[in-house]
Amino acid sequence: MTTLTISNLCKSFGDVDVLHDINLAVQSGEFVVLVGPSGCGKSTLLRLIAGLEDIIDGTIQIGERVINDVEADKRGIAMVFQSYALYPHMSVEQNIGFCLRVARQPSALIREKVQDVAQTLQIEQLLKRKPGELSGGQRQRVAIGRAIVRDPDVFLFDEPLSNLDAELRVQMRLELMKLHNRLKATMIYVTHDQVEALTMADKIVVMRDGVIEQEGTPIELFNNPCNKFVAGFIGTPKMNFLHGHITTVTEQSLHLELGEGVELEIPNRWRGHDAVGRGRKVCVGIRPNEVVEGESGVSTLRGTISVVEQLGRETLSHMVLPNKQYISVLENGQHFHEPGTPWTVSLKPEAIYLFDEHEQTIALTKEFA
Amino acid sequence: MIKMPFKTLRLMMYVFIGGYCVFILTPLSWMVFTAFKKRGEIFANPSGLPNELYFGNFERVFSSGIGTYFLNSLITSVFSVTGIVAISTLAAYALARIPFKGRMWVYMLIVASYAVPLHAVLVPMFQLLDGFGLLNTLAGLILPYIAFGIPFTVILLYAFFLEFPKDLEEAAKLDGCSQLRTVFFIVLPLSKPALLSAAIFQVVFVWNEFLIALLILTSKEVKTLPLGLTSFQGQYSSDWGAIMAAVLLSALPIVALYLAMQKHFVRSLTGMGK
Repeated sequence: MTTLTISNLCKSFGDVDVLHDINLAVQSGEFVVLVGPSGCGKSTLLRLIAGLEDIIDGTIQIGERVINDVEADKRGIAMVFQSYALYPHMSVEQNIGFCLRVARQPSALIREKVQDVAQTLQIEQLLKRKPGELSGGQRQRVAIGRAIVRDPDVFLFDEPLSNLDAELRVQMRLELMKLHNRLKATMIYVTHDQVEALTMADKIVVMRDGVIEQEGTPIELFNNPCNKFVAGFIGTPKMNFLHGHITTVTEQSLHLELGEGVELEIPNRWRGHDAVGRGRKVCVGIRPNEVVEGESGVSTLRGTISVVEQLGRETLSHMVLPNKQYISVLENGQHFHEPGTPWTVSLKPEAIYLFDEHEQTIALTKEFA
Repeated sequence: MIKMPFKTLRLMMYVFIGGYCVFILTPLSWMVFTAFKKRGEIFANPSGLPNELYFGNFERVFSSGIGTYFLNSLITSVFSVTGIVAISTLAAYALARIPFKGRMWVYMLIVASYAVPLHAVLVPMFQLLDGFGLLNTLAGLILPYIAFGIPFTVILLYAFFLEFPKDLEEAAKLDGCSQLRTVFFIVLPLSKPALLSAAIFQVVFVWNEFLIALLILTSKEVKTLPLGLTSFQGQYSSDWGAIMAAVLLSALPIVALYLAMQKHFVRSLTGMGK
């Protein structure tokens, strides 16, 4: 069984620090997804694990073995590249069997292993073709096949689905999950698509600017984001954020001034917290599906409908408040709101998040947690 | 600015290209026609088609030793171009992919050496080859050809290798290939168009090169075709038919090569072999 442990890992390119003090433990058989915006360092982290970049500081261990100075091909790692990186001059069969040929395995064994992998991925009929004669999905399978044939301890995937169209992406996502269930292998998967992260991961690691912001199961991250960045990054449509400051604090409620006369009252579920005091800047977060049309007594906002997106089963409406802040509302079913008309919405009290001026999530008082 | 109608512009272009073709093809056709004419006909009807196909000129050319010149040119071309491409490929790959101190300086030096005119180094080169005892040998011709061919080929291949997808090399690394193995198993097979372009360009240069050959080679046994043609001129100063037949024969391999690899040849001139 293979665990992967990353301790105090740092990486810089020239004067640019790309990764700062990364610590991560991946359990055996775990499917870990590294997610974050472009340039956050997730691909660099993957390349460091693969041995394609030199480690400046810190250690990477597979099991008990530190692999910092181990050659890429001796680490027991296989990687699927974003571009698939199939050798265009070799057939599918040669592509899959190349690493075995380099390792001077007997040709009968190579043939047998390639056949096994082709059978697993249902690409037997493609073995004699060149990569140029394959569709995107087929190339993807071959790239995965090339990884499987090495029988690695850890699989690395660098945005492997980003070149596929939406339909194929969903299909390949399912196939990758099935593959993971079948192989029970440790997999580390990089993506900037949080839907992929939420659907596939045992554990999600959210990164920003070279640091890990939060790690946890998809549901943990969705329900308990540690800061505004994670809250905004995980979940579609994106969480609404309303910026303002606290004007009145009572035992039951908080009164917020959101600017230009817009006020919001929310139940006080953060009693006694330092960041929840009169005059403190805060940010209210609420997911679009937790905002409902109409007045519910408290936490009501009035504005004008700006844009309405019909999603078929749901309707996503964007309302602009008098202070020019926007709030999105996701309703089940088809609703035909007229852009430009006044609208009133209410926030579900139990679904409100509050972030302090440093964008950290303010913890709920025990009785509400 | 006067705006010209598209049709007029196109017509002018055709007239220009047509005129240029006539300018280029007239001496060539004159060469071909003369090669097949009898001596009297050359002067009686200098620019017309031959009355009958006469092969006597070719017979005289073959009997006077063009085969040796041809063989020398072939040996020189094969060894020079192989040397140029082999050295330039590894040099260009190292410059493009292996980080080492002074890498850019080495590259700049190679680029700068491309700018050195041949005539400026003729005398020292002659003395150097004399010192090594290589005068009047094919090796004495091949070595300078390799030296002169490397800078351009390195520039051409360096640009190609810079654009070569790094993912493929990294995939090879993960598959267990050393850097040299990656070059031979992955990079070179996928660089065929660029290598072919470079080779074709150098073949044309080496096959037609005259000045260095004139300087290095003196005895008949080692002369290459361009040099051999001059001796024909001396020998048959009034036999234009034989001279034209010899010129035609010497041009044939290059024309055949061009026709066979026209696509790559045009690429080498325009797009750095991509």
